[in-house]
Amino acid sequence: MMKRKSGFLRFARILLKPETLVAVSILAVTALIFYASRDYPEGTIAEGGGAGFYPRSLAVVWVILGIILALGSLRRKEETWPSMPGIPRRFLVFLVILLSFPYILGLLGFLATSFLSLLIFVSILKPREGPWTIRAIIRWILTPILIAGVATTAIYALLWWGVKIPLPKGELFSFGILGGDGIIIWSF
Amino acid sequence: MELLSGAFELYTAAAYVFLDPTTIALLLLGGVIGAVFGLLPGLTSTMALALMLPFTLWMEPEQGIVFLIAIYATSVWAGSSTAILVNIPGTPAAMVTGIDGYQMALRGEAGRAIGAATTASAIGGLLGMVVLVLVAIPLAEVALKFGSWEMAALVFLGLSLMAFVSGRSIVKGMIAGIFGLLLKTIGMEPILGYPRFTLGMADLLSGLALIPVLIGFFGVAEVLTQLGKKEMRIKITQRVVGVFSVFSEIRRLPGVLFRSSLIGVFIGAIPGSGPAISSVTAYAIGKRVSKRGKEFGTGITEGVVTAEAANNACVGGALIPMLTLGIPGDAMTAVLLGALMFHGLTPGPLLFVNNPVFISSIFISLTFSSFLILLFGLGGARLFAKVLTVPSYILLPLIAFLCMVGAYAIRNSLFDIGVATVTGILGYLMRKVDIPPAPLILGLVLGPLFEDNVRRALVLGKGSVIPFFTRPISLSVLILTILVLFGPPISRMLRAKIGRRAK
Repeated sequence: MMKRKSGFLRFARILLKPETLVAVSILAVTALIFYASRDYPEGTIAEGGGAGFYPRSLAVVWVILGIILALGSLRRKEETWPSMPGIPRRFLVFLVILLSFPYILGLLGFLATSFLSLLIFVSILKPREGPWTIRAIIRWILTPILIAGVATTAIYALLWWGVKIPLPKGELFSFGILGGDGIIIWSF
Repeated sequence: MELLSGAFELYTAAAYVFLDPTTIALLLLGGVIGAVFGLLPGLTSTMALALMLPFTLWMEPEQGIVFLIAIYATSVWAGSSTAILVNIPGTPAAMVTGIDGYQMALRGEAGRAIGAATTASAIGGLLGMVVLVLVAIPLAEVALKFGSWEMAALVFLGLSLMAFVSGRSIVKGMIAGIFGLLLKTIGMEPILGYPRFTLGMADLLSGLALIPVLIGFFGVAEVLTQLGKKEMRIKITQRVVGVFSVFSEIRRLPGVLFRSSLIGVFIGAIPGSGPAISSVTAYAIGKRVSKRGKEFGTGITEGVVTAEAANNACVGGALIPMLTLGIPGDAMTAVLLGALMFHGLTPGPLLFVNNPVFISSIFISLTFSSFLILLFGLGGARLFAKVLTVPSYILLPLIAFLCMVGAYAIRNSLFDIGVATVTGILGYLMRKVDIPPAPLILGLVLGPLFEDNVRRALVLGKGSVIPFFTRPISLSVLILTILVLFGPPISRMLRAKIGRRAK
C-alpha cells in the first residue's frame, strides 16, 4: 500500500509542474474559445475566414505550444515550483484592497476610498521601529495619515481641478445635502 | 545630400513646439519622473511609461510624447547610479554597469563612476538619435511599399524575436505572445464588426483598453511581486564626489563611445531586444576587442562607459522599427506605440507623411533628454542618490494608487480598474511560472495589425497562402522568423550530438 502511494506521489510530482499547469490552463481557455465562437458567422478562407477563424487558429497554435512546454518539462526530474515562502499578510491585504477598490470607489467616492485604502496599505507596510515611546506611537499613527492625505489631495487636485475629469462621488453621498461635494466634509 | 537635407527638415519640423514653456516644463517633469523610476530598483522604465501614459491624455499629442520620451531616456540612464552605489541595478539596463561601477565605488570613486555613466549615456543617447534621424526616412519609404503579406510576416517576426529574447524559453515567450494576440480578439472584430468574447459586457465591446492592461502587467504585478519579497533597506555608504574629474579620462575614449553606441543602436533596432541586451552585448564585445579587455570587471572607467553608451543609444535604435514599421523594439516602445494610438495616431510609415511634427518632437526631445541626463547626473547626482532612501512603505502604496487612478482616468471607467487588477494578478502569476510579460504586450499592441493583415492577405490571395512565400520581402522575413524560432534548438541539438560523438 505504502509503495503504491509513493509511486502515485512520484507520478503526481512529475505531472504537477508549473509547465503542466500552464498547459492545462491553455487547454481550458482554448476550449472556452471554441465554445464561445461556435455561433460566430462563418466565412471561407478566401473571404479571410469568419469572425471565429482567427482566434481559433491562434488557439490551436497556442495549444500545440502548451503541449510542447508540458512535454519538455516532463523530462526534467527536479522540482521547479517557484519558491513560495508563505504568503505575507501584506500581500493578502493588498489583494483585498485591490479587488474591492472599484466597488468601494463606486460606493464611497474617490476621496474617501483613496484615503482609506492608502491609510490601510501604508499602515500595514510600515515597520514598527524601536520601543513604544509616546513619540514613536504618534509617529506610527501620523505617518500613514500624512502620506494618505497628501497623496489623495494631490491626485484629487490634479484630476479634478487640473484636468477636470469626473471622479466618482459615491452612491452613499449622491443624495440630500451631502450630495455633490459633501464627501469632502466626510473624509477630512 | 538629399537624404541629409530631408533629415534636417524633418528634425526641425517641431522646433516651434519647444518654444512653448509648457513643453519644456513637461520635458523637465518627465525627466525627473523617469530618473526616479530608473533609480529605484523594482520600478522600471516600462512601469513609469505605463503609469504616466494616462496623464498625457490632456496634453497635445506632441507634448505628450515629449513627456514620455524624457521619461524613457532618463529612466534608462538613472538605473546606473543605483548599480554603482549599491550594486543593485535600478533597471535591468544597468546590469552590466554595476560590474565595473560598483568596483569603482568600493574604491571611493562613486562620483567618477556616476560621471562616466552619465556622460556616456548622454553621448550614446545623442548618437542613437542621430542614427535614428538618418535611417528613419529611407526605411519609412521602403516600408510604405509593404503589402499585407509583408506586414503580417513582420509582426510574426517581431513576436518571435520578442519571444526569443525576453525569457529563458522561447516556447514560453511564444505562449505569452499568442496570449496577447488572443486577448486583443476580445471586442468587435476588424472586418465584419462582429462582437467576440464579450461575455455580454458592454464595456468589452470596444475591446480591452491597452493602458489598463499595461498598468496591470507592469504596475500592479510589480507591486504584488515586491510585496511577496522580503523587504530590503538600501543604505548608501558612498559619498558622491568628483563627478567631473572623470572627463579627462573619457576624452581619451571616443572609439569606445562610438563602438558601444553603434552596437546599442543596432541591437536596439532589432524588434524584441532592449537596453539590457544592448549593454550586455556591448560589454561582452568590449571585453573581447578592447586593449584593456582583461581589466574589465576590476572597476575601470572604460567598462562603465562601454555599458552605458550602449543602453542609451539603444533608445534611439528601438524607436527605429517603432516609428518606421509600427513594430516596437521592446516593452518600452510598445507602451510608446500605445501612446500614439491613444492620441489617435496610426503608427507606421504613414506617420512621416501625415504628421512630421510629431516625429520631429520625438527627435528633438531625445536630444534634449541627453542634456537633461547630463544636467541631472553631473549636477544632481547627490540629490538623486537620496531618492534611493525612500522607504517602500511609502513607495508601494503610492505606485498602487497611481495604478488605480491611471486605469480609471483614461475612460472614467471603474471597469478599467477591474481590468488592471485582473491583468495584474495574471501578470503576477505569469511571473511566478516564468512566462515573460513583454511578448504579451507586443501581441496586444500588434494584434489588430496582425489579424487585419493576415485576413486581408488571404482575401487578396483568394484564400491562398502562396503569396507569403513568393513575395521576396515577405519570404525573407519568414525565413528570418524560422531561423529565430528553430535555429537555437536545432543548433543545441547538433552541438549535443557532436559533443556525444566526441566523447
